[in-house]
Amino acid sequence: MAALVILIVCAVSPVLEAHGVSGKDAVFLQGLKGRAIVPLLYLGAKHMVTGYDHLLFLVGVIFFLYRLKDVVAYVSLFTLGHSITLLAGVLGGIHANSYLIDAIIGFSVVYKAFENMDGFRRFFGFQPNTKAAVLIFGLFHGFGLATKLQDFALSQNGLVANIVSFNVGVEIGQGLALTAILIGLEWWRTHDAFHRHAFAFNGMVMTGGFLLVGYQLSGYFLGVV
Amino acid sequence: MESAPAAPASEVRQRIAVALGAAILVAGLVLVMFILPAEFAVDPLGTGAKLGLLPLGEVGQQVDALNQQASEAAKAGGTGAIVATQEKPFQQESVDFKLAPHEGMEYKYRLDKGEALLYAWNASGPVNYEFHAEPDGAPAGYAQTYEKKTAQLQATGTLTAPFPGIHGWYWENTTDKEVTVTLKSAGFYNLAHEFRNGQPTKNKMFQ
Repeated sequence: MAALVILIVCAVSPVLEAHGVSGKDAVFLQGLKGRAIVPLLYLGAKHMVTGYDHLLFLVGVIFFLYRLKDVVAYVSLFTLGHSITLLAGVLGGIHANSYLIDAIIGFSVVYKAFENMDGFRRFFGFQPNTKAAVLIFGLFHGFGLATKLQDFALSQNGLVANIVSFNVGVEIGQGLALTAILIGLEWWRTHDAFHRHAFAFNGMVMTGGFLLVGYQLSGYFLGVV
Repeated sequence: MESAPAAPASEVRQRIAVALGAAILVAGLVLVMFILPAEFAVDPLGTGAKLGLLPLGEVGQQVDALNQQASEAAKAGGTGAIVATQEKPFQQESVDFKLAPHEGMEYKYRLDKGEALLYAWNASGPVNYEFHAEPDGAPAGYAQTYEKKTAQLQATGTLTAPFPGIHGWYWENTTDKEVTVTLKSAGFYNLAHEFRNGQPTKNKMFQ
């Protein structure tokens, strides 16, 4: 049931939300003339909590992590990865096409689901380093965050403080979302159904990932640029 | 990773392959049947039209295009609507020019960059004309053409000067009879020049 709900959310979300900083927030961002720490914290957290692509990837990452120590280790790598590219992207003025970056983020969801299905060992006889994968995909997720902010002519005044605030907000939002996901997973794991449905669930996560790839590539080729 | 009960390797592989294929198929169908028509007004299977999703995509694309235009206009300096307040006095005039058979003449207003001119002229007989400007500081004889037509009886429109300079018309009477060109204009000009045979013949000041 939970899996079905997630699939529906994955399928419908791209239609509901353009996945960027929404209109009125964008107006606020462009009007900024200096530091706005709390609003940027809030927007970072909001972006993460409502960013289904990041969430779907996180679900995949912690799906088979049973020990808190492992959860912390993997999430820290993800955080390290996306913080590097968020800060470097915006402050260094590195521009990437947001559709292509978001398509790669969608692919990261597919990759993680395939890994959770044990696809790499079964098909290719080896398991690529899972920590390295989380770090590398974390870098792309950070670029995704950066492109959203770069869509706006942000004032140079207080830029560093604002970007760092946004980044910290992203981590707060990630912490909140992770807590909710972990509670849900913990509850699910107490049921026998977890093992029976785990494979199918990852299949649905993978479907969501493919959907994100398709949606973003469609935007790249068909969107009004 | 998954602690599934031991199953033959081939069976596990098959299961993963089926899941992978199903994931691609479902994602592809959802994309083509629903998302493409609703988001991008692309409807390869006709499902968007049947379900009424297509108008959603069409309106969305239109709105995106309009927003895009507006944001480009805003980047170019403005809000899309061009409002330029003026402190110079408002001027309007209606002037007649007589062109002898096969004679040509020019009449140009001095406008700064961004200043607008509203104009309408008509001729009693067909004239060739060139609407053009000479930018300040350009070499003598250099002109930028806005519009050039033959055998016309009238033209109307607005001009927003792209650079400071003198902006106006060259009219040429191609007939064997005298032609009168009547120009009406409004703007914030304070100086106009009349040229005959390429030489300035009259300067007109506006107060």
